[in-house]
Amino acid sequence: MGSRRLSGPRAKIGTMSKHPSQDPVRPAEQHTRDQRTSASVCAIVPPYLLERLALLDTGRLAPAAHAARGTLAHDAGFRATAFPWTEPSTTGQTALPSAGGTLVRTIGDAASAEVLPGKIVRREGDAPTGDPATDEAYDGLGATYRLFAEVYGRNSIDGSGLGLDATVHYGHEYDNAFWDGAQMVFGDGDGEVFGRFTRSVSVIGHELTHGVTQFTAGLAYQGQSGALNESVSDVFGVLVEQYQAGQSTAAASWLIGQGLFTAEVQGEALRSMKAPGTAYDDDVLGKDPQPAHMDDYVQTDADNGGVHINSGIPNKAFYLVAAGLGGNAWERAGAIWYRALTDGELPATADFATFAGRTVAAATDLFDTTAAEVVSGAWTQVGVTPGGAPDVRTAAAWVDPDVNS
Amino acid sequence: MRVEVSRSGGFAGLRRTWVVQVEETPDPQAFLLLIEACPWDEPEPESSGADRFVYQVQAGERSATLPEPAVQGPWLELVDQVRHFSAGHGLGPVTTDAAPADAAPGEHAVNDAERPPGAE
Ligand SMILES: [Zn+2]
Repeated sequence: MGSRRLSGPRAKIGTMSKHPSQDPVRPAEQHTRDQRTSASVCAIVPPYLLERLALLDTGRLAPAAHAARGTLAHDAGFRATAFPWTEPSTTGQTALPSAGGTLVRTIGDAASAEVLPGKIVRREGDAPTGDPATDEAYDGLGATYRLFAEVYGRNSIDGSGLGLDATVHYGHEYDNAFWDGAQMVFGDGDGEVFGRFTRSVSVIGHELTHGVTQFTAGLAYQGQSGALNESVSDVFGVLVEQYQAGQSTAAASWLIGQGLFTAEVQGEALRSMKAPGTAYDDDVLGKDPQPAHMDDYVQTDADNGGVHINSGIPNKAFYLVAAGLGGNAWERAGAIWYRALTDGELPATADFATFAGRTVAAATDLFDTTAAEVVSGAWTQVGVTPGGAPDVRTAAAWVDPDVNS
Repeated sequence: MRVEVSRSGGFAGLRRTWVVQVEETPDPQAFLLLIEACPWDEPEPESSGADRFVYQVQAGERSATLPEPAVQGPWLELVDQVRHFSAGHGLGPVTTDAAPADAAPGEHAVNDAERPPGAE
């Protein structure tokens, strides 16, 4: 066994820690469902393994150790006090959940190593550092926090004021940004294809939304539920930008990761929600592979079943809803998607049809049958028929792959 | 022996593929020992979080799928060596017959798309 087993904690697909959502709309119902799901979820990652992982703190094991610490802290039901670096050094106030909406950002600098969290370079309330990556991450986290708090009434990632932790300058010419289960991580890019990943607010909003999804529907990161997880992050990623800029649906670019490519690349962004498959077409990179319709759904074993490719389908559906409803996308379209993600009714293994069904229900609950028809029509246009009950067969095929081995 | 490392996923969802022929490296014997040192038969680990890279490593008949945090020890050394000796940056349109063509919808429909990880 050795390091490999340790590095892959038995956190099965869709078993990231899940916690009662703070959705104020239907608290009683929410509570019941979360008690049920969290019982099955918590049993899957043995606490002893999390504890062992949490002790590993150096080199390449650090991310896994870090994630394990985060999971332990979350499971203990309080703010992540196992992250000493998130605690302001001067007071003890953060031992308790911050109530009533508190934004607490902490930015670490990995100095081109693959370490987390790195040296803390900016805490909440600190003045700008002058380092673009640090300051962009700080501002982007603030913009994302504001969208969720001001528009959807959500207090941070977990609904209870969890600190927003990010590390910049991760790795050497590292071409990625990711959510490790406990924090956001941003690379500087290789300088040839990608510049730094903090340049686009949509990327920062995307990563933080992975945290929101983890604490709510917990969409399993594989196949269709994984593509939904990706799409939800794209949706709220662009909404952060649109809300910040005060841009209507008609005025917005609907691009994900605008400005990430260097000038050498023929393409304006990584993805287009308005026109999936058109974000780039480059001699070296090839063409944006995203489909916009179920007819073009890509079956692949790469990328967890093409989660970053097939997200084009629900992305397009969201754009069509926003366009159909008009005005500002964060108001009605965003509220519908937020309700579907957080109301406790969406299974972690939801496929596109199931999610579509939940958005139609959310539109009916929040607005009226006209809105619901717009939502239903949008899904139909991308080849998805909104469904009711989750497809149990699909879920059983992979939810616990070790059962038969 | 042909060794291929294919990295997919990440925020951008771009695949990069690097290939070497062991016989063409400066020390084929050392390269073969490195391949032998990798724990090919262990269950394929799961990853947590989102937007991490996924590595698919193939050496001759053997293959493994590894989430980025699992690429350590001999795996890390093997991936680094393949990247080092592979020509080019591994990006982009398919130029060799063996590189996967997942950019074409439907074309890459495959074998192990439905296979539960670790069920070998
Ligand atoms: Zn993502």
